[in-house]
Amino acid sequence: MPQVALAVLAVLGITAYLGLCAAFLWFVVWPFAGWLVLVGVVLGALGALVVLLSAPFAADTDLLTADDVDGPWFPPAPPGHGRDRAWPHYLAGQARVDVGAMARRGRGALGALWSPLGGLLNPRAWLALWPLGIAGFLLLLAVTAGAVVTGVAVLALVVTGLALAALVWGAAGRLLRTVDALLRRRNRAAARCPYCFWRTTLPGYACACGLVHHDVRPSRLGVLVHRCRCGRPMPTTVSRAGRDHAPRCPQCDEVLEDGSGVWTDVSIPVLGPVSAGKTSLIYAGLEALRRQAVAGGGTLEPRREADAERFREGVEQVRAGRVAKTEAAAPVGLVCTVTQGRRRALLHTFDAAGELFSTRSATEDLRFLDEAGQMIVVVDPFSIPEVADEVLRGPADEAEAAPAVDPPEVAYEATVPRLRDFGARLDRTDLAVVVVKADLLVDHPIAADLRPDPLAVRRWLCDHGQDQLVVAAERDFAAVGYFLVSSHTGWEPEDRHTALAPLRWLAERGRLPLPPARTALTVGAVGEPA
Amino acid sequence: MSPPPAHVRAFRAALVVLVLLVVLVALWQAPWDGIVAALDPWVDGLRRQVYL
Repeated sequence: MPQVALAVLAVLGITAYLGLCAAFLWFVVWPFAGWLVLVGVVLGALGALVVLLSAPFAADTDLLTADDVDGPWFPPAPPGHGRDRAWPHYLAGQARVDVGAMARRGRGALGALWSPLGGLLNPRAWLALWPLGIAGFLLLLAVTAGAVVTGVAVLALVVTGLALAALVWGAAGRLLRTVDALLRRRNRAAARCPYCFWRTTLPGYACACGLVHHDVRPSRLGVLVHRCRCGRPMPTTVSRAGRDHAPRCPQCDEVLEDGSGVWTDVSIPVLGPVSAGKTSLIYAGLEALRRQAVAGGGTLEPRREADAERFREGVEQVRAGRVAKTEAAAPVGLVCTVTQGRRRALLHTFDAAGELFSTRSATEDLRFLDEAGQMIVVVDPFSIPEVADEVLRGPADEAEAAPAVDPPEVAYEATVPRLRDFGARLDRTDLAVVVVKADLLVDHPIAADLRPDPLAVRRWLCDHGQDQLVVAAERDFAAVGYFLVSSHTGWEPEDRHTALAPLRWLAERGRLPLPPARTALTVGAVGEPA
Repeated sequence: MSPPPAHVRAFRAALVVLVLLVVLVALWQAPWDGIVAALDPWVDGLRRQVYL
């Protein structure tokens, strides 16, 4: 009997308990369920907004710094110097980090919201409080629903906004980069290092902290400015960076001439054997070019004081007819600034001892030949055997003519294979073939039909055993001009055999800003493509 | 960890302002009359349940 009584009591107790729970659910939970859902959804939405929008500012959100530009957030750095140590643009990397942080913190907040439920899973507590737990569960569900919907909407909005901004930003960067490149290409702008002779269209620029930025074009590091690791801004595009930052050689890191990379850059190496008259031609041509530039209201000045001194001495030696032998140790570069109106340019001429053009191996280290858009090959007529036999009749004649030690084609044949081996685009290079020492030659019968006219010079060369040189030059180079020059008398632009002619022809083809030609001599070219 | 530089802070602030602006505009432009009309029966039902 006691067992029966106990069973009855238990059934009564359970029934009472279930009745109380049902009453609680019916009279307390159910009437407020709708309100709970409403309040939960609003709370969830507000909470999601706060959690997501505060995520980027959280202390534990990763920050991509200038040292992370080679990290996994960016594509592999370009070869060479790699990516500059500058702060990456927000849209290039940090935006993705921040979106990731928002999603992560959102998930974390939801997890934290549901974690107290674990305590309620205790069977005894659940048994006692399940009606109340249902209310809490309902509230949590509502909060979660509000938070998830709001969170997804906010993330979608943020991702869409950032993607659109990145598209616009990328397009603006590409446009700016293209405009800068086109402007510089139109001006034939480049930078030639006077130390290692490396030529580039993209010089580096040093920040005030000393760090050299090797690629200042608009990129993932910024469209309008790159922010150096030290925090200082570096203007993007070569044109803007060149205004107030010193250009640096990307190869040897030496400081380049001001304007390098921004101004028109014309490099004219002069090839020829020993004693051909290369140095005389350079100084006489530069002096004639300077006179014409000044007469036209422009300038032509050596960049450095040492160059100016060398230029003055060289011109004096040419006028006096006693030019010193060029040292075989190292090629000599002379950099001049040429201005005409608002246009400015750098003109590099390179003079190397003739010994360096005697064999293919000797030309190996002549880096100034690389990427020179224009070249001069000096032809000493007295080194042509046929001419020498007829004109040089004794030691006095030889002393006066000082003929080159090798025939004209030797320097050409030693240099052109080297240029090809080093990948020079000869099909984009102009060549001036200059017959020098005209003042000593034109009075001899062998030069009776030689006039300072391109066709006449070309024909004369072909008629006197230089047809192979002519054919090779016209085959190898984009355009070939023929000139008859006297460096001894040709430092005046008006001279019949002015040394200005080949230099001006090449300079004009290199877009060097020059005044209109004043000389009566019309400088033309043979072998130019139609 | 070093504090984020000014340009990062500025972009993040712009992001927050953009989202808040969109939320405000969404709330401002939402068809509240329709929403209230749609919820009215449900709210009435809630009221009746509470005052039952």
